[in-house]
Amino acid sequence: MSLRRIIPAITLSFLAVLTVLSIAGAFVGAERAKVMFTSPTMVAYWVALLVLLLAGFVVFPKLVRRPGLLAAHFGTVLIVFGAMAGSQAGHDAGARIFGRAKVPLSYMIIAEGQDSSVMMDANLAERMGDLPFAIRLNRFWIEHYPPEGKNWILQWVAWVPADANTGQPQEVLEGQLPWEVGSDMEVPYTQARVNIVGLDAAANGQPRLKVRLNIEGRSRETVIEPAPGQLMKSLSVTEAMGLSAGEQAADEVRLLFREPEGDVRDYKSDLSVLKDGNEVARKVIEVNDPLHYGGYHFYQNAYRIDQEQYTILGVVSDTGLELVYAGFVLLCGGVFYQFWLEPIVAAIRRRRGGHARAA
Amino acid sequence: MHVQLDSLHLLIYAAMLACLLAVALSAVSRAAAAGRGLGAAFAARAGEASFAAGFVLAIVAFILRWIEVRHVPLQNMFEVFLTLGVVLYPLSLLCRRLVGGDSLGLDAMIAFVVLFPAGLVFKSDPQHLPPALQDWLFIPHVAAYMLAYIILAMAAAQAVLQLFAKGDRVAVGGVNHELAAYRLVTLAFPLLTLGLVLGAWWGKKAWGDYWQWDPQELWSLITWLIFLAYMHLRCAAGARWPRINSVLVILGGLAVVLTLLWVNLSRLFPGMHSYASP
Repeated sequence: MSLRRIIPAITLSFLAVLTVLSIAGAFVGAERAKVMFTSPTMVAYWVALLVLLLAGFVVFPKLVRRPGLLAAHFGTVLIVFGAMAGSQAGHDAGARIFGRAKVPLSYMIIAEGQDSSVMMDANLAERMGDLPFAIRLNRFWIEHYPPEGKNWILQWVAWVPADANTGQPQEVLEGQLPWEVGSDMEVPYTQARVNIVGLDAAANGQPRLKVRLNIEGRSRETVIEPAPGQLMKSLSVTEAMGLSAGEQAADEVRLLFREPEGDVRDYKSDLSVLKDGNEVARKVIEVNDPLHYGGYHFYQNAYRIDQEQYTILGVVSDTGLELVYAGFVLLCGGVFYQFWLEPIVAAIRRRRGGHARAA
Repeated sequence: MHVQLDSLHLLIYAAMLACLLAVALSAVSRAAAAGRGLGAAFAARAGEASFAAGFVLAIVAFILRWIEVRHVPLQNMFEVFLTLGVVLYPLSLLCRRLVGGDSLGLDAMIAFVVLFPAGLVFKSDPQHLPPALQDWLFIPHVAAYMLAYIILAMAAAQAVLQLFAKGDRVAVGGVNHELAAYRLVTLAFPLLTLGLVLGAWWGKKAWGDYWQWDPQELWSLITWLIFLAYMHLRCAAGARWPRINSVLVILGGLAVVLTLLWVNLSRLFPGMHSYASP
């Protein structure tokens, strides 16, 4: 049997194997699929696929003569080769051959105003390496859509004192009270209850929440009304009701009536790249717009807010990326040329040829 | 399944009815052309007009939705199926011109089938675009897939006809169903490739990697691989084995349905494309 018959059969077999493995991969989840497709057995498959593609160029001269087919197949070679170069094994090989040690994927956690060059694992627990430069977080912030149609939020805040007996430190606790007109709820950390009497709007358009605070025979009705242009108004339950130490388990308890936040529109980090303490690059990154510097892309991955604001960056090596992108362009260009442009050009030529013969 | 009586859904129901009427008129036209009745040309023209009216109604619904959500409505399953219903008529016109044959009734039936879940199944609550979807690649990536999927559905329908039509392998326009399916796949395959590549590029921008082995990515790859195998077989053997060719196209069509519906609706496939859920 000639190679011209064998290679198409092998090609179809390779495609069938990859299809079946992809179906299996889809069922086992992304993490296990990644392990499966980057296993040594699959590395052998990818290498064999590269050999098959290159053999195709030799056995089928049509693949070289027709620009669309050449581009699509050569593009596939570049994608597979670039992906192999960008893998963990590719990075290990790069380190051995070129002495260029890069971490393929890591994470950084940086507090606002601080800088770091430490690359961590996905759990932010283990150090994976250091960058040859530092990244400073100038600012992190979250942008929201307008809170259309959402009710204002009624929230409690309690300043709970330190407890020397239990070792409990002083802390500020908070939570939301799910309210509607007529509802009657406990105010946490107190023996008081709050009854929502009514809701209306002031002349300036700000909402006015009429509440009645009750505690064992004492009752007080008041209005929580944010000032014009303000997004929040607080009411000290402790002061309003004159709560004694026995009537509350906190130094102070307040009710906050505040405008709700809309859905998250974006997460943004203002980053600087520092080399020898000097800023050499700066960019505000957001989802879909990473920072590229020194062979790495820095992505807005997550954030953390406790005493300080932290951004968590995904740090991804760019090794092999140019090859993959070039492969994408060639693959797309090739199939469009082959299946869209070439038939149009052929039809135009046929039509012109017909006209010429008719003339 | 639930009927909703707001203007958006009423437009979708009207578009569905127009598509059904186009299917019926196309059948009347075929029967008349086969000598079992009169007015084949009139019924064909009325069917075309009805399909066109369905398109107009669907596009008005699409524009209303765009105004309501303030972004191109391609975010969730309701919007995706509405968009599929919108692009069907222009694609049907294009494909009938390029491929030949009379597939008006078939295409109108596909339009009805894709508008059905938009009108009666999926929730239509407006949603803001999450951060990951706010990129210029959102529209070309999803649009390339939508166009490819519709043309591949048409190809799969031709393949089914090739497999099961008794002694009727040649459509009214004189085009062999196997050849029609092949021409449609050659039209869709570049779009399918573009959708895959744009998705990979976008994944790199948003998540840091162009390939995450996510179930949605893998099912998209599976669809692409099936049609890639079909193209290689068709290139190597031509129409020598028309039934095998047709089976591959139908398998590819099934993979499209699985990618679009099963992967998005089933809890079997959790992944990073969760905003595509209904």
